[in-house]
Amino acid sequence: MKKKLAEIFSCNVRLLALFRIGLALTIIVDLILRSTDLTAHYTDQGILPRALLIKEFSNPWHASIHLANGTALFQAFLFAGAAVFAFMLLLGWRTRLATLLSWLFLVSLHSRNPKILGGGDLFLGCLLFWSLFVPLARRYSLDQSSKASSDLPERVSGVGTAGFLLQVAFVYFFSFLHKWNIDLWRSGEGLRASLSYEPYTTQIGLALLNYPHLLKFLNFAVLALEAAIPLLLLSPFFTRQIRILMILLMGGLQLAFSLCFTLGNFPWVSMLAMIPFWLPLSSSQAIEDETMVSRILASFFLICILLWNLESAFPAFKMPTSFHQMSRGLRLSQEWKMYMNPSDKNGWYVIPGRLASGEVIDLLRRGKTVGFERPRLLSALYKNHRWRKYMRGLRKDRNSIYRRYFAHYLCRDWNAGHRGKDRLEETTIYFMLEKQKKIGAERIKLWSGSCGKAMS
Amino acid sequence: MNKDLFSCDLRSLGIFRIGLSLIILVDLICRATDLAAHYTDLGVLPRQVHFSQFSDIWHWSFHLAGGSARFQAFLFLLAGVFALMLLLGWRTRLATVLSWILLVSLHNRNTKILEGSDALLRMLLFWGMFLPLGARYSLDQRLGRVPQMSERVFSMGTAALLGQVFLLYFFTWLHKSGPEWRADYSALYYALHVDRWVTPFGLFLLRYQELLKGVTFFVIWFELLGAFLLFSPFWNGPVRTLAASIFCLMQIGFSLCLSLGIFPWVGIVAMIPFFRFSKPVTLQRIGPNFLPAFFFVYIFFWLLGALPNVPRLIPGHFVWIGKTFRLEQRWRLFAPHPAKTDGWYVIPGRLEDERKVDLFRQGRPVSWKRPKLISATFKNNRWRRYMRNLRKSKKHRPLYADYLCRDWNRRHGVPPRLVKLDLYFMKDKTLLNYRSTKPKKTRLLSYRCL
Repeated sequence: MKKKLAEIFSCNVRLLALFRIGLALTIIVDLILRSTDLTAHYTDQGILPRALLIKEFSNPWHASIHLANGTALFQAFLFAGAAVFAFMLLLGWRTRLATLLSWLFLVSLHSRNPKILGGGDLFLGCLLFWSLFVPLARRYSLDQSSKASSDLPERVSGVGTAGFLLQVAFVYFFSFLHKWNIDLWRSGEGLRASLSYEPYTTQIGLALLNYPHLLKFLNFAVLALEAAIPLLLLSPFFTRQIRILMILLMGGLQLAFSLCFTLGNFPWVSMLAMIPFWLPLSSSQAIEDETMVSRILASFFLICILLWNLESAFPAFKMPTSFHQMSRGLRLSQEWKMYMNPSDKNGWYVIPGRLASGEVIDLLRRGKTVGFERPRLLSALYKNHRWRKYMRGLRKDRNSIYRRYFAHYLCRDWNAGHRGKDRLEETTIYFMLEKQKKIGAERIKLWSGSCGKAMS
Repeated sequence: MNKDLFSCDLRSLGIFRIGLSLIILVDLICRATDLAAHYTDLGVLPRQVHFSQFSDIWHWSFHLAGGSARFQAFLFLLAGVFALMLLLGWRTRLATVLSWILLVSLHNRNTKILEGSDALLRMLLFWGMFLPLGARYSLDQRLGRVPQMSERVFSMGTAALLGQVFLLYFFTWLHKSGPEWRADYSALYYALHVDRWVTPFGLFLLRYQELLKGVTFFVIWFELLGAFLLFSPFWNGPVRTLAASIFCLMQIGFSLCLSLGIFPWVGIVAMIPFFRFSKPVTLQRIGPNFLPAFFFVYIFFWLLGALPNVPRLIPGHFVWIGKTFRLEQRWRLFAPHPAKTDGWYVIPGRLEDERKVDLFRQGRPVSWKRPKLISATFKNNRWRRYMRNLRKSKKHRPLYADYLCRDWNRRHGVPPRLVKLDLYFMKDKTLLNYRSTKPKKTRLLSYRCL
C-alpha cells in the first residue's frame, strides 16, 4: 500500500529539472510582458497608486515590497532583481534560495496590483510555492554539476511531491465541482454561456457559437475531462499508460481553450504543470528523500489547500480562521472557478478625450476618431490580458472609485508625449452595455472629468 | 598628499564594526518599544497617509510593505540578525550591505522621529560597505575568508569615512554662526534651557554661567580646530589620537547634560577609525575607489548647497542620487543658535463620563504646573523628537491625536471611552541672566475622537 502510494506520488528528477527550466522561463517572460505596463500598473503615476491600494485592500496578510517606492525606476529595479532570481532558477544555481526569492518577489508583485491578476498568475504562484518542497535541481543544474549523477535516485517521492501533484489535480477537479454546482453547466449550456461573454472570446470561439449541438457535446466533454483527468492521473493501475493518455488529452483541452478564449498565461502555466506527471521510462524504485521539516511543512500546507478548495466548492464547509489567514498570506488561497460568467453582460468601452485644439479622439484605440458602433471582436480592444481583466472590473459599481485614477492615468500617459494644442484636457469613459445581442447597446457614462493641472 | 593621514588600521575598523553593530542593536531594541506607535498602520503615521501626503518620491522603504505590528516585528528581527552577523563579523560585507538597506528602510518609514545621529549612523554604515570591516576580530578572519592584507590600509573608502567625520564637525561649525556661539558665548546657556533635553546634571551646570561661556568657546573653536587636527601632517599619530579623544570626551560631556538618544554613542564610534592600534607598518592601497570618491564629492557639494545663503549646488537631475542612497545631511546641530523657546506638553482628554485626564502623563489628572523635569515627561528620544516636530508640522497633529484616541480606547477596553482631546504646548521663552517669563499656553489642536 505504502509502496503503491509512493509510486503514484513520485516524480522523476529529470522531469522536475525540465519543469524548473520551464518555470524560470515562464517567470522571465511574465516579467518582460508585465514591464511593458510598468508605469501603468505598478507606480504612483498609474491606475493604482499606493495610497489607493492601501485604502481599498487593507488585508494585513498581503505584504508587498513593491510598495517600498512609487517610481518606475524603483519598480524596474525590483523587476530586474526578480529576473536575476529567475535566472538563478533557470541555471539551477543555489536553487532552493532562488526558488524562495522568486516566490517572494512573485507574491509581492501580485499584492502590488491585485486588480490585474488572472487564474494563471494564481496557478503560477501555487506552483512556485510547491516547488520549494520538491528537488528541482537534481539534474541539469549548476548545483548538481559537481557531483556524480549516476548514483543519485532517478525518482523521488514524499509529501512534497504529493502536494505538488495534488495541487495540479485540485485545479481541474475543483474546477469541475464548481461547474457542476451550476445548473447551466449541468444542462449543457455552460460552454455556450461562457463563449457568449465576448470580451474573453476569440474569433474561433465566436464561430463556434453557431454550432449549438457541438457546444452541448463539448460542454459535457469538458466536464468529463476535468473530473476524470485528476482521478486518472493518480490511478494506481496502468499508471504509465493512463498518464500519457491523460496528458495528451489535457494538452488538447488546454489548446482548445486557448483557441476559443483569451486566457492570458493560464494555458501555458497549465501545460507547464503537466511536465512532472510524465512517468520515467526507467522503472527504478522511487526513493523517499525529504527532510523532516520539509515533510511537516508540506503536510500542513497540503491540508491548507485541501480545506481552502473544499470551502470554495461547498459554501457550507468552513475552515478554521487561522488556516484561512495563513493561506491568504502565502497566497495559497485558491478558487478555481474557471470560464463561467453567465451573469456578465457583453459590452465595450469608448473613451473619448478632448484635446486643447478642440479635436476629440478615442483614447482606447490610440487616437482614432470616436465611434460608438460595435467593434467586430470585443476581446481585441485591449492591449493584453491584464488590461482586459482590469477593464472588466472597472464598469462594476463597486469599482467606481478606480475610475478617477484610470482617467488620470490616461491623461498623464497621453500628455507625456503631446504638447501644445495636442494636449489632452478632458476625458469621458463610456461603457456600451449590450443587454441583448445585436439589439443595440445602452451608453453608460462611467466617468467624466478634466485632466486638471496636477495631471500634466 | 600623505596617504597615511587618510588610512585606517584594520584593527580600528574591526572595533568600529563592533561598535556600529552594537548601536544598531540597541537602537532596534529601543525602537521596538514603540513598534505599533511609530511603524504600523495603527500608529502615528499609517501607510495610507504616508503614501498620499508625506512620501518623498525618491525615498524607499521596505517597512512600507506591510502595515501590521507582526510584519514590522519580522523586519526588526531580520535587521537584528544582520546586526548580529555584523557584530560577529560573519560574511561581513553582506551583513553590512543588508544592515544598511534595512536601516535606510527603517528611517524612511517614519522620518518624523529621526535626528542628526540617525544620519551619521547611516553614513558610517554606508562608508562601511566599502571597507574591510571584517578583516580583524571577526569570524571571517577565523574562517580564513580574509585576504592577506597589511595592518594599515588606504583607499578612497577609508578617506571618505575619516572625511565624513571632518565634514560633520566642520559644517556644524559653519552653521553655528549666531552671536550666541561666536560673540557672547551664551549658546550653552540657551542649550541647557531647552527643557525637553536637559538632564538634572545639566540643570546643575546651569548655575555656573561663566563656566558655560568658557565651554561654549572651547566647543565652537575645537569643532573647527579639532576637525583639522584629525588630519595634522605633523606628529600625525599623537595629534590625531589626542583630537579624537577630545571629541569623544566632548560627546560624553554632552550626554551628561542633555538626553540626546544615541547621538553621543554614534559620535564616539565615528572616532574609532582615527585611533591606531598597530605599530607603524607599510601602508597598503586597496579598492574600491571610484564609488566612495564619487559619493564623497557629491556629499561635499550637497553640504555646501545646504549652507544658508548658498544656492543649491546639486543640479535637480542628480538629486535622486542623494535621496535614493540617503546621503542627505546638513549637520545643523544647535545652529545657527540653540533654540530659545521650549516648554512642555499638556494633553487634556475628556472621557465619556466628563472626567478629564492628561493623555501625556498616562491619564493622571490635568495639571498646568511646570513639571519638575520636563525631559522625563518623554518616553524616549524618538518621542522627544516627534513632539518637537509636531509643533512645526501642522499636518501631523490630527494623526497624533487620532493615535492617542485609538491607543487610549484600545488600552482601556472598557468604557468610559475617550471622546475629545486638546493638544496644548506650554511655551516657555529663555531669557538671559536667568530671568523668567510666564509660560504661554498655546493650543495646537482640538480633536474629537472618531
